[in-house]
Amino acid sequence: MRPDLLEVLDSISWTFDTQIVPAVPPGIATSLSFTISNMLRHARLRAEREGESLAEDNQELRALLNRIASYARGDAELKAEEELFADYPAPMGPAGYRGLAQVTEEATVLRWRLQHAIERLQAVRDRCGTQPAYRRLREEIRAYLDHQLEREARWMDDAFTGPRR
Amino acid sequence: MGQITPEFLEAYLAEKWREGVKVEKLERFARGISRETWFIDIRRAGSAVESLILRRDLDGNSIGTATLRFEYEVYHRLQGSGVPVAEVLWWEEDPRWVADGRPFYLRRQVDGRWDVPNYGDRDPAYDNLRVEIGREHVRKLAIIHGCDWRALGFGDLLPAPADESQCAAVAIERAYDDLARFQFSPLPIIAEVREWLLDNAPRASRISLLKGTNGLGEEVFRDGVIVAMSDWEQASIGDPASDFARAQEFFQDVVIDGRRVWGLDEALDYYAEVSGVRIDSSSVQYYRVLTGVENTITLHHGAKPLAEGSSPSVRLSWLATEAIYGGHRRMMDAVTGRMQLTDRPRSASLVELKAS
Repeated sequence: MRPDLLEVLDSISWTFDTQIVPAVPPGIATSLSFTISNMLRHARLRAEREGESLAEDNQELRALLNRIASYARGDAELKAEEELFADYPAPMGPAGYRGLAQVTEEATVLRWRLQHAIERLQAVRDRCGTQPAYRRLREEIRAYLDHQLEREARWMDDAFTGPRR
Repeated sequence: MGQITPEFLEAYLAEKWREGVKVEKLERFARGISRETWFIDIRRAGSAVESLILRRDLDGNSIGTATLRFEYEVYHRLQGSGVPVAEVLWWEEDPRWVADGRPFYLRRQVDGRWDVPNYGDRDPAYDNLRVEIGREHVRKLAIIHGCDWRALGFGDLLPAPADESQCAAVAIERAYDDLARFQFSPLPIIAEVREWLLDNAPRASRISLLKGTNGLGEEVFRDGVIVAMSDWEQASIGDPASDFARAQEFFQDVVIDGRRVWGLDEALDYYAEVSGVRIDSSSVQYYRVLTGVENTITLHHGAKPLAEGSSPSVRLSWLATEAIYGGHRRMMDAVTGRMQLTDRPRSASLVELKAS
């Protein structure tokens, strides 16, 4: 179907930058138009790349949360917190096509779980910090967070150029 | 009041001053992000033009976690302190004047400009200008850091560290307590970096009043001199290194004939000269990370209206994406060891991360 979504967004961006921005009077409207130009590029890149990237991210995070759960089951104190460290084995929602909203919702649930897990693991560091398994897990968490930022770079680095406001 | 109009202001000021007031100019500041700022020129009968500034929250929310009242109280306490700030006139929350529920305050506008002509021109002809502006900013930071914050009443307004070893811990607790009040989506990197911040907290050279956001865009200049310092909503009491970590643009490197003549190291040397207090650059590097956390939390707060659909400003969208992303990268560089505290700190830029 042409123009496709990305072509439509490209045309909006091009028209805005070349036809609208130069005609905007100085002041708050010009300042906002700079912000809009940057955000249109950002939106275009997200439309192209975010869905696949988030699905990939969720997969990596789900595996990580399962390893955290596995570690927690071996620790008397953490084991009691079943909700926090329960396995997260399957993607949410029906099989087949999964829209961006659904993948985003899943990412939100998984990332809340990760935040809480990090807080709990930090709280037991004095007791568990010398264990190789604990240290390895913490490194895996940091590696995942790094990967998350690398994925986000796909719609950040090329989007924000020129004056922002 | 919902709309700021000449008629509204004339009625308000006439009641305050008990004489007729004519508004000659009314303009909303274009670049402001955290709150609404209005520039107002007025004239009373037989008097010269007086310039005022009105500040109030954005409709729906303020980006900052500090209240507008806090901002007013900081200005109020700094009157006569030696720190150059505008004179504050009135805090207003009377329902007769704030029908839409948004209090405001008025202060006098200090004659000057927030930008420095030619400062951003990379022509070597302006290298000395950049050095002189940087030195002027250091002098003013030294005045803030040297003021008696207890005598000025800041101890009633802000949490104060018990001693120099507690400065970072107080700032961390304040930031994470703020986040706990309003967090609406997960921030696992913010959770992860907390441990690094506590493990690496430096001892402060002294306990000072801190400006928070500072540097280019935050101060008012006239003839190369800072005549007013504004944007105090991130003021705190703590380690002066934090203000160097937050300084925008003024400590960027200036290289003349292949030799660096200005930069963060030189700014810290000059600060030691004018204040008698030495700040270690590793502390500045540390506070660059903590500042990233504080700004991310502030911007997370600012983004809440987007999630609630109450104030979908593109400015909020931008801040909640690019600025938070930049802060997250800096935090992960710290916790993974890619950034070391012994590395030479990179001076903050205006574009990089600004929460106000």
